[in-house]
Parts: sequence; C-alpha cells; structure tokens
Amino acid sequence: MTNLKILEDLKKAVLEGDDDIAQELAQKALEQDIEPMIIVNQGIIPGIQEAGELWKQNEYFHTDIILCAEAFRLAMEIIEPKLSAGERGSSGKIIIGTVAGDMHNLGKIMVNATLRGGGFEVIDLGEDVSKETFIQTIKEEKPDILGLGCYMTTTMLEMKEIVKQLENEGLRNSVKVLIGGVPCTQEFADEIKADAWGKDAFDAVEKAKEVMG
Amino acid sequence: MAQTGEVKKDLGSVLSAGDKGYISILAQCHDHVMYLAEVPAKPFFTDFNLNFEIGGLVGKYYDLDGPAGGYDSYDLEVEALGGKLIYGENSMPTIDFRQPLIKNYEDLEKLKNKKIDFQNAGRFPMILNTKGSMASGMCIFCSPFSLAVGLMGFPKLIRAMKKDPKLYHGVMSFAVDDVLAPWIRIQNETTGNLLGIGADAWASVPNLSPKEMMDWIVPYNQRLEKKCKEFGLMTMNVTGDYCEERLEKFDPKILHDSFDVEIASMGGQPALFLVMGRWHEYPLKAVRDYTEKFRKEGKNVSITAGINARLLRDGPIEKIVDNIKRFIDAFGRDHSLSIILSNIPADTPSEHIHAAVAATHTYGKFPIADNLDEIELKIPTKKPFKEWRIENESIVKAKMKEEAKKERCGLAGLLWQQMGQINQNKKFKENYADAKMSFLYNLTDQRYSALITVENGTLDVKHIENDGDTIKNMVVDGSIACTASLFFDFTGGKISKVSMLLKMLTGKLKVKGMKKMKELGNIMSLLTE
Repeated sequence: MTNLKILEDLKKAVLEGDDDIAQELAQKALEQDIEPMIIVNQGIIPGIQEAGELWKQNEYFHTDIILCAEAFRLAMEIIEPKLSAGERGSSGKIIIGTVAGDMHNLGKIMVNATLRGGGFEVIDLGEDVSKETFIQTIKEEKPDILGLGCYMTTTMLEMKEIVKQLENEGLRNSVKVLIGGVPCTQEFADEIKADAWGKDAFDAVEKAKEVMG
Repeated sequence: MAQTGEVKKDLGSVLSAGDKGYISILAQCHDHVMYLAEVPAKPFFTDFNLNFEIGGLVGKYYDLDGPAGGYDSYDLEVEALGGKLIYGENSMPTIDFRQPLIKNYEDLEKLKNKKIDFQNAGRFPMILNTKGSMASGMCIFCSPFSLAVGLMGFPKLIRAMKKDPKLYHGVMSFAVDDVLAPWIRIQNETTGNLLGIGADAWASVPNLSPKEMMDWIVPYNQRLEKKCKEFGLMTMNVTGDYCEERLEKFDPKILHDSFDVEIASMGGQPALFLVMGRWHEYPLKAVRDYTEKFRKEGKNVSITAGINARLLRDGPIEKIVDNIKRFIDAFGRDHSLSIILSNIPADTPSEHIHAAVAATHTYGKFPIADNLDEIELKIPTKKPFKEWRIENESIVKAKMKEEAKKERCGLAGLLWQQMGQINQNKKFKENYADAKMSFLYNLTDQRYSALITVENGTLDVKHIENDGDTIKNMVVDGSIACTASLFFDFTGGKISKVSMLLKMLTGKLKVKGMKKMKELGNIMSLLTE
C-alpha cells in the first residue's frame, strides 16, 4: 500500500467513524515510516475537518460526529506519543471540563476531538469538575484557554463562579475563557465576562483560534 | 360514532386551558421554581409533595394554566434500576454517565434478570403517591431511546446502533418490554391517568437524522404504544424535536421529516412540538406548509409551541412578547395551539415570565382577533416572588386546596379539557338554559369513570371511582360501558357499524339512552360552529 493510499484510507476511516480501521491504519502508517506529523496533518485531521464540512451541510448529525471523534481519538492515541513536544498542540493549550453537578459529556467529547483536530493540546478534566480542580489545574498547567461546558441552567451558573474565582486568584488575565453547552448564549458569555461562546463543536475551534489571536 | 361527540385523546386536548377561553400557557421550570423559592435541590427533587406545592405556588404567581415545577423525568427509571445519579446542591440530579448500567451484553442480561419492584423502586413511589401526578392527567415516563441513553450513555448507544445492532435492539427491547410498559401500567392503575407522555429530548435533530430516528427509534415507540393500548392507555413519545442551533443550517426538508417522526411517535395524530429549537428565529411558514395537508383534510393539528429558554432568560421583553404573538398569529386560528415556556433557566427574571403569560392570555383570547396589533397588551407589575409569597401564600394554598377537591381524574380530566369551553358558548347557554341531563362514560377496565352533567346551561364533568356499586346504582340519561381502548375507538369513529353492533351483541359495548347521547353530540358540535 502506498503512503498516499494509507493516508487517504486513514482520512476516510476517521470521516466514516471506523475507529478500529483508523487505529490500524495509523499504526501501519508509522510502520511505513511516514512522519507522524504528516499522518496527523494529511490523514487524521482532514478526516475530522471534512466531517465538520458535512456537519455544516446537514449531511452529518451527532451520531456521525461522535463516531468520527472516537476514530480520531484512537488514531491520535497511536500517533501522539511519537510527536515531538513542539509538534503537539501548536495552536495552544486548553483545559476543558464539564462544570460541577453536570454529568453530560456528549458535547465535550466532540469538542475534545475538534480542538485537537485544530491543533490544540487538550487536557480533559472530565465531568462534574469542581471549581477548585479547574483553578488548581490552571495553576499547574498554565493553559492558554479554559473551556467550560454545561448542559443545565442551574449548572450554567457555576461558570459564573469559576470566572469570579479566576479573578479572585489573579488568574483571569492569563487565561481566555471559552464556554459552551445547550443553555449558553453569547449574552450569557458577555454577562459572566467569558471571552467567547462556541455554539457547537466546530464553532468552538474557530472561537478558540480567534481568542488566541 | 360521532353522534356522541368525538372524545379526543391527544396532547393538545390535555394541554388546553379547559373553560378559560384562551390559549393555554404552561411551563417546564423545575430549575426556576427551585431557584425562585430558594428550595435546595435535594428536597425539591426527592419530596414530590413539596415539589408540587411549591410548583403550584409559582404557577399561581405567574398565572400559568397549570402547576409549575416538575422533576427530572429522564432519570427516574434509570435510578429505579440501580443507576447512579449525581445530586447537586443547587442543580437537578443527573445520571452519572461515567458509570453506565449497561456496557455490554452481560450487563444487559443481569438487568433483565433483575426483579424490578415498580411500586417501591427509587423515586417511583413518590410519583405514584403524589396528588400532582393525578392532576397532570398524564403518566410521565422517559421514552425508550432516551432511557437507553440513560442506561448506556449516548456515545456507546450510538456505537451499538451503528456497529453492534444486536446490542442496540437488546437494550431498546429491554427498555420497552421490561421497564416502560410495566411502569406505565402501574402509573395508570394507581393514578387513573389515561395518557402516557414520554420525554425524548435525546432523540432530536441534530443529535440524529430524521431517517435514523424513523428507522431505529420509532419502531420502539410504536411497540410501546401497542403494549400500552392493551390496558387502555395511549402513549405518545415526544421524539423528533427539531433543535438545530445554527440558523444558517435550518432546512425545511429536515424539519418536515422530523415532523413525520413526531407524528409517527404520537400514535399517528397530527401533534407537533416546536419546543427546543430556535423557534423565535425559524420561519413558521415552514410549519404551516407542513400542516396544510392535514388542514385540507379537516384535521385539527395540535401544536405545542415553545418559547426558547435562552430568549426567555436574556429577553428583552418586547422580543418575548413578539415571539408569542407570532405563534398565535401563525397557528392560533386554525390549529390547536398551546404555549410552553421550555425549561425556564433558573435565574430568568420574573418580569419576562409575567410578560409571556400576559401576552398569551391577551393575544390568545378566543376567538383570536384578525389583527393582533390592534390589541392592547397590559403586562402586570408584580412584587418579587419572595414578597408576594409572604402576602399571598395562605390564601393561594387555600385556593389550591379547593381546586384540588374539584380535581378531575382519569377520563373526567380529559373530557373537561375538551368540553369545558362549552360553558363560554352563548348558544349553549341559551339553548340549554333549562336542560337537565346526565351521562356516564363507564370505562370498565380503568380506575375512574366519568359523569357528565348539563344543568341550567352549565356543563360539568366529574370522575367516579369505578367500584361496582357506585356505578350500578347511578341513574343517568345515557351511558356507555366498555374498556378504555374500545371507548376511544368508538367515540373517535374508528370502528365500523358492523363491528360496533357485534361488540354490542357480545356485551363488550353497552350503550343506553342513545337519543340523549346524540344530544350530547349536538352540544359539543356547537364548539365547532
């Protein structure tokens, strides 16, 4: 199999959410001595990018994106350890998590994949993440962006508290805050003094890039 | 058998405002009620009497056409099966998706072999023992697909759907056969409610495509519907809501396909939900285009129109009012419209809700005016809830107690929602000023029957406990006695004359006082004149 064919098939496997095949092809690409960064840029990322286009055209729904994100994750799991420190997360570092009291992770799974596809190094703190954990991790990891997700109108208010706490700790100027999730709006982002609101997983990457300038 | 007046068993009827003479406005607002009344989450979601009482109070504060409040309807079945919930200090409980009950076939088998005590598991007893459950007239449940999401998590369920269909079908069959059908039956037997409404927010666009929903979800909704029909209950699943976030992605074809999914999940009745999406921005013409075929056939399309939660929170008031006016203008005259304030965010300003209610009751007054712009809207200024509560709580609670005494359970509640508005009808008042008639609809397999009385130009409906003696000793002018399922087929004109005669001969259907029954049909036809 030629290198070009492997990369094309890898892209297709990510796009179609064939996670086992994507992982297998990522491994095969490494064995054929294709540069890890080329595998990412010409195989894996184009898959998730095309999924984004199909999403915008109403061809893809969350069912497709979720499988695509999983194929992306598994392929990256093979390649990421082989990337040099400089190659990883060239767009910036972002910490993401669903706020305390909220267990919903569908949006976050997709955002995780699209952000990584957009060249961000993503530290995913999971669901039901306390304010203290966010603050502590920011101090330790010094990310460029903090991404907060929520699904409920009650947990949405927790975002406000986190932003306040960032101010109290003197961290607000060192990290951009990006919010997302069903109940959020641009108005709410403005109200809590977040830097941006991502209306869906693909918009989140665009907004993350925007706030990075 | 339209002579007796068709008795509808659809959501539009249940959500109507009875005899109030205007379009009803209801609210899904557990978060907001909890926040407004400063009740901590744990007691609010575990003490349903408290939940109902506070919800009732907030409902009165806002002058809604039903109690506010409510509960986490997506969690109860999973919790009863042993699933872990996270109870936040200030937030509604949610399923802990990190620890799903079903990860593989083995877990599914284990659950299938688990004996579920539907009377006592989890928070089921609170549903069964709370007055509010009866007042709603509905048996609420989590629809098959959303329940399966609760059991597995969305990504894993989708993975099963696409890559391991056997597991997907196993989970969905378990949800319908082993959990939902028996749970709905217990609710029906205990509360007497005749309509089952399933919450299915996970099954919506753009989570899934309409085709995926039609192929993978609708068959299970219909399977549940069939099972519940056996014990006289009609189930409807709110599947297929269109909630595309990006306005530039709005697509009438996908919208219409998702309406097909909704109707297929609603027992084939033209009932549409415009609830979760950006309905303040989507073009309503696309909805009218879809309902045209039904209207041409003379069918009444029920529309539950939601005011976007974020619009409601962020305002401004003018935009909220315009949104309601727009719905009423588009659907108020030739659809059966109800307004619902969808999942009101916790910290929504009260004045936004007061405005929404005033707009609905003013612009939605029957008959709907030709030009809504000519109607003056007065939005009441009310004190903040906390102050209002101090001044009004005891009076309102006493009023609620009185209303509770008049509660109509089972069929009586359903009939009242449809028939109550006749009391606003001038012709009825004049023609039947001296009339005195009574009719009994005896649903032999249900907890309650319904007694309809017409006296001095006023119609009333009461429920009658279905114990043998009470029913046997009743003297009425006309009556129908049969199972609930047959009753709705009969009154809805769904059985042929031959079949009807056969059922009468075999004693499955007993009709007395046919002439008087026709009179009731005449009365109800005044509503459509």
